[in-house]
Amino acid sequence: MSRQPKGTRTLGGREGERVERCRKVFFETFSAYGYQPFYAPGLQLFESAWEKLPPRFRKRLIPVYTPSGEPCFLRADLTLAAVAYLSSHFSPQERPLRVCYAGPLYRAPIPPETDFEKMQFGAELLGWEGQGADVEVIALLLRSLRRLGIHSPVVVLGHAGFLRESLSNLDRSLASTLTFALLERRYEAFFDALGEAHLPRGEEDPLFRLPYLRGNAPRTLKEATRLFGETQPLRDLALIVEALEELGLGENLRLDLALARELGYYSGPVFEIFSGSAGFSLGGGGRYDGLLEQYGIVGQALGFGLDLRTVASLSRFEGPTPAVAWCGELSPRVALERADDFIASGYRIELSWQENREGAIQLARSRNYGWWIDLPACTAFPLDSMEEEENGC
Amino acid sequence: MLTLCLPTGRVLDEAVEVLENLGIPTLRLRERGRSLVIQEGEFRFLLAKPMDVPVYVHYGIADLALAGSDVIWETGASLVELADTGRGVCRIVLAGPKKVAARFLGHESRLMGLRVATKYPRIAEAFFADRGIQVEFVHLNGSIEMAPRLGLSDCIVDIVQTGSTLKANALSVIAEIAPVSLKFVASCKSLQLAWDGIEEIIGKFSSSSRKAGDEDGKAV
Repeated sequence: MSRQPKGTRTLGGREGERVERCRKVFFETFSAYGYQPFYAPGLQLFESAWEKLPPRFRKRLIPVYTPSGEPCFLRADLTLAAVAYLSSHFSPQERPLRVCYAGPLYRAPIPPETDFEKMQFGAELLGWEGQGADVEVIALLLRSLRRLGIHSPVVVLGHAGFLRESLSNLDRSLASTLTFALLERRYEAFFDALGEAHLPRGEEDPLFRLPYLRGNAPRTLKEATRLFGETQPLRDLALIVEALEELGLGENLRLDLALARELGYYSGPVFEIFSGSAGFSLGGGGRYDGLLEQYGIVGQALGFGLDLRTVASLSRFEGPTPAVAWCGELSPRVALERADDFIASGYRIELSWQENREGAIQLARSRNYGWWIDLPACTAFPLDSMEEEENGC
Repeated sequence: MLTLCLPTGRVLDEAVEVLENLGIPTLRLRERGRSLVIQEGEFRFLLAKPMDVPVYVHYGIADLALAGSDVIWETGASLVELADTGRGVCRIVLAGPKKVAARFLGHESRLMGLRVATKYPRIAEAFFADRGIQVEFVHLNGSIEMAPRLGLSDCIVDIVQTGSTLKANALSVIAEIAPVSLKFVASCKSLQLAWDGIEEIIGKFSSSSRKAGDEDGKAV
């Protein structure tokens, strides 16, 4: 028996096909807009990454040593690798820079999850401060999800700067308690801490409403503006909402002004992606500047990561019709040419070189395929009815 | 339709009362028989073992739930804690016989290798690891209090309400680990995609808590 390490999975068959299809669609959509594919090493050096990772994240690293004795961890985050690559391989004049990537990530699972290996797709846009970048990334992301047939994908938008500003007048320890409560999604702890602080009535009321500022984007923005005034973060969000609505993506958009993303380095708009059919977030991202600063870059970047396996499990992609094609006595050249015609008309072909055509039919049945093709006769037959001729070359 | 997951066992009656106070229909829930999935009006109720409730919420099977803070911590489920119901109040403690309790007053070296019986291995592990004490855990699923008496463990980590079961088994509280109560929680997905329905319930929750607080003569 060949056992597999606990917390890892082999992806094959239909699942493997779906993951590959998702990866392809994301790459196609993003690379068409100038996002260069990027492949990072599977290991990250502790000495380069440790200081840049938030403490909560550090506990989940899986350490290993390279054959040359360098202490590393299995790649746990692709943003770090992407920013390190962009900051060292391109001059400041070449910005903005765009990369997209797909590959496995390794983090110790938080129960009840058990897998420590995840497949992620992500994209980063570095060096553009304006609004266009947020709209570009979110719109391309939603387009990819729509192409994959994901049921009503929803982007939930928040703003790290809005949270920071809203809590900026408070005592530092109270602000940090409130931020932590939002990060941990413990609203009851948020209200308790706020209640115990005995703030003046005017200051207290908008904050008590903060965790409830979510849902329909225009309505939420209106209420937030009434409570907190017309702040810059709210103006940023209004512009993004307006642009996405103009692109016909308004129905895929919600606001959550209490949204605090896991990684502590976000500085501007942040977002998470949900689908009606998945119980949890498919991934998320946002604008960050702290990480860039650590690489000596002044400015902002924007990125996101999505769990490819979850997205693949939700995608409604069926793929081409699989069939076994019997070659009979045809020469390999003729058989491949005829198979090409069937592939062009929407089949995915598995060639059978057996002399006996019954053997080819049996193979198709054992694969659970719906079709077999008689290449010498240039004819495709559905397996449940041998009489019905469907397609010829 | 919103799906609510409720814990079976002794806390279920309290959970049903909480729902009733929120104006959520509970007639079929009260007359549930052996059904574990009950539909009533705009709600679907799932009845699950207390330890499984957070898991149903984590995976988005349930939009909302009433779950104890002990099982939320122990399962590590990712969910949103919306409010404390103030029900099911108890605490997680470290308890043991007198002679073991005395060891906790001395140097930590006297605690190394202690054997701890618990149905909360994650919480117990966090408690001892934070203090740098290496112990051995025995994972039990019930009647934890008898473990020290029978020599299976030196002490226990368990929930305590009145303390009478501890007393009956010659155990006393050595350390308070955390207070426990029934929380009103939501799945991360439902909080975003079903917010209108959830907000309506939270609204009722706040006013019902306020009312209860006024009646008790204390702030809630």
